[in-house]
Amino acid sequence: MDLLERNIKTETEETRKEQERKEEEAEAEAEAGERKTQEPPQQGQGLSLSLANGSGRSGMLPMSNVSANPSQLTIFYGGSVCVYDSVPPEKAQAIMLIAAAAAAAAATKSSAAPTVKPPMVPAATVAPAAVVSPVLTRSPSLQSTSVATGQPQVVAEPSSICKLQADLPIARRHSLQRFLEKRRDRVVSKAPYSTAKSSDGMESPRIEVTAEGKAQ
Amino acid sequence: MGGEVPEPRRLSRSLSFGCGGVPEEALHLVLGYVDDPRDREAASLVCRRWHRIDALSRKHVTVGFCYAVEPARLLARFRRLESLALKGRPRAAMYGLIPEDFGAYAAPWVAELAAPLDCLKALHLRRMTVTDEDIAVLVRARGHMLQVLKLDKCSGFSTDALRLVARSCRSLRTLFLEECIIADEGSEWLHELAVNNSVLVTLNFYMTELKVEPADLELLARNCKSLISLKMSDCDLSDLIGFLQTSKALQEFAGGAFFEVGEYTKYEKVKLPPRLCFLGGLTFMGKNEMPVIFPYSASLKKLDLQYTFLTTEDHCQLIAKCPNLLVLEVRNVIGDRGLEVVADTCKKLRRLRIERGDDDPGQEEQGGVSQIGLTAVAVGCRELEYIAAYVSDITNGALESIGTFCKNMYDFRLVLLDKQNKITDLPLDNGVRALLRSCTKLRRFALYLRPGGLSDAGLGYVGQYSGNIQYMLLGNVGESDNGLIRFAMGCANLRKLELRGCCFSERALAVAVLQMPSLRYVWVQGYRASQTGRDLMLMARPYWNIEFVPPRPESACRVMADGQPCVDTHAQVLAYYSLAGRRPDCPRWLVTLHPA
Repeated sequence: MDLLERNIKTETEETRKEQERKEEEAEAEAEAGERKTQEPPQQGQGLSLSLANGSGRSGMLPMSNVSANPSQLTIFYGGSVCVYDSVPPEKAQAIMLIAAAAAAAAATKSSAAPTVKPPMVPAATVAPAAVVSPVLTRSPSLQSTSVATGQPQVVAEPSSICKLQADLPIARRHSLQRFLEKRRDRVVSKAPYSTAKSSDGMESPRIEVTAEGKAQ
Repeated sequence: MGGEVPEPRRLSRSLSFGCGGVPEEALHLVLGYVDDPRDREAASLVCRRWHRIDALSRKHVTVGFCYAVEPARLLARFRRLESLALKGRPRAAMYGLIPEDFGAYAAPWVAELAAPLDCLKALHLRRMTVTDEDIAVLVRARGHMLQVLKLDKCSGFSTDALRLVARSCRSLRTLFLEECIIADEGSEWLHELAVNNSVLVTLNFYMTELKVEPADLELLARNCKSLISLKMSDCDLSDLIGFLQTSKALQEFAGGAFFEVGEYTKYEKVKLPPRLCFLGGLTFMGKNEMPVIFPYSASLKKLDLQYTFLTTEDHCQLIAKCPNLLVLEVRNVIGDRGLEVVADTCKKLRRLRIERGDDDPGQEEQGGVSQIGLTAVAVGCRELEYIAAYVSDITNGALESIGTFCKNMYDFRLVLLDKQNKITDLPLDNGVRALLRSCTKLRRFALYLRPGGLSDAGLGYVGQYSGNIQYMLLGNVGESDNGLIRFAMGCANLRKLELRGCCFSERALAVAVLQMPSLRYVWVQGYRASQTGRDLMLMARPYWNIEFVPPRPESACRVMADGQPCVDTHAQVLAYYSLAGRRPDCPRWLVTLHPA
């Protein structure tokens, strides 16, 4: 309780820094607090946005005018409550959209159940920040993991949909295709290769797409 | 209709004002200020006199498809053209989906137009078959006048033709050969160009595989002080040090390659021209070679990294130094993290292309682009006018973000790659609707998904909110014929449509075509095709050509539960308006359909 109170009382300057960092990390659920000027579209909003409703609400939020009064932004995350003053409505909406995208990715990650690598915890100068930062600094790792799982080698099931998909592959532009073929030749001939970290094995390159194209 | 009745009378009265009406010279001058082709088209319909004056004052014409009109007809109407652009093979040819012997020959056009068009000084051919003889005819007739020659993704000619151009076209300011397939008979053509031309501004033989001599490039730089843009085939950057030092005025350069990676000392002497703002090629550039361009990062406006060896981290490091980028082209190895750096750094970005990298087993690159990167870019780069992205994952929210923040979006293309099994948020109906409703300036739209990516309702939204979109490419969208019909009912302004891998019947395709009033060109591959194209005849009408690639014989016996044919991946339909009637040069594998 004492910790929560200290967070709420954070000074404006620290609030601004916190806000900028949060924007960059894009890992939060956000709620627009009470506005000094009450606007009808905002009255129906609940106190917090759940994960399930995040995308929908983000999409439905009205775009306020730039001239609208900045208001208070309250973020609930990981048991902490952060309050920011003087947040323009447009920026608040941007934060919520980024959070929705990241939340969706996090949902994907949790369903895939990969192992999360523990990130390094950066040293913090302020005590409240130190308490918050271990949770927040997982964001880059989450994104990294999410991106890593973005390209899994999943064996396609022999259902009709996958079959249709496999029959008509996404085509690639000639010039890019030629570059990738040269790149494969180069990777093979230059093994072991220091710069290209992505080259793991020395498997022979496949030219399925090219063959498919010629078969047309 | 009734409201238009008074208009002609008013015009008539106005035209009869004064002695003999509006002077012809005045009308000529006024029409000279009308540039939009559609406005021109409308003006030429006012009366016979306006039609004639438009024809005389028209300087540029683009023929969207070379079989839509005969050369003689074009010549009869526009005798004073200065610039002509012709498009040939369907766009799908860029992806190897159209056989090489499709046609689209430049010969009839060159033979008919090169000599009589006295004012012609700019010619632009795209995806056409051009022979050495065609170029010879052109050079003999117009060599002394030609200022711009663009052969864009053309094939069929050799460097012998280029030698002829270099020797005879001394007023040439632009020679554009990007992504052409050119038979390389030696590099003398470049030497001849350097010796004979002193006014060249743009030289582009990017992605052509032609061999060049660095000494010829240095000679070109010395003789053509006006050279602003050079995009060339790959040549080791260490061999171009002399050229780059000589080219003081150069602003655009692409094609330098790093063949000896790991040996930075070879490249550290490279100094780029002081005014350089476009950089591309950089083939095989890796982390160790990036410092070559660090001193110029802040001034770069266009950067093409599609052919580099950079990792995601390398992309982040490099792009963080480029705050003034207007155009960025990368492979998806940039990853979401790289796109977040783009969003934070490149506030002026207008065009972004994220190509598909290597995804064959064993060659997969790290990275991958998803809704995280797209959302960050949408929020951070609000001046964007063009996005083309191959993504691994996508959500409705990301598309909504683009709709919310990118109000200047003119051209949007999205491909959902098929490697990843589970996509976060399908179907994308609501995201697509939000994007189309918000991006009111959109003119081109491409959406290539997977089955289930867009439902019939979503496809209906695409039509309903198509607004002023003139070109669409749709892949793996919709669930049934109903979706296509609903889509078609909404497309008032669509002129060109490409469909791929959809589950529609021939009948639905025909009905849809008839529903779209502005449609003049449609290409389809992967639909429920019959052996004869029987139901495609439902779209028959005057001036409408229908060409059909039959499905493979083995799929003839495959029938789905409802009795309709299965989706066939080989069958194609090409249908288009044409004043020229049926093609005289159809290859044997292409069947033309027409009423008996």
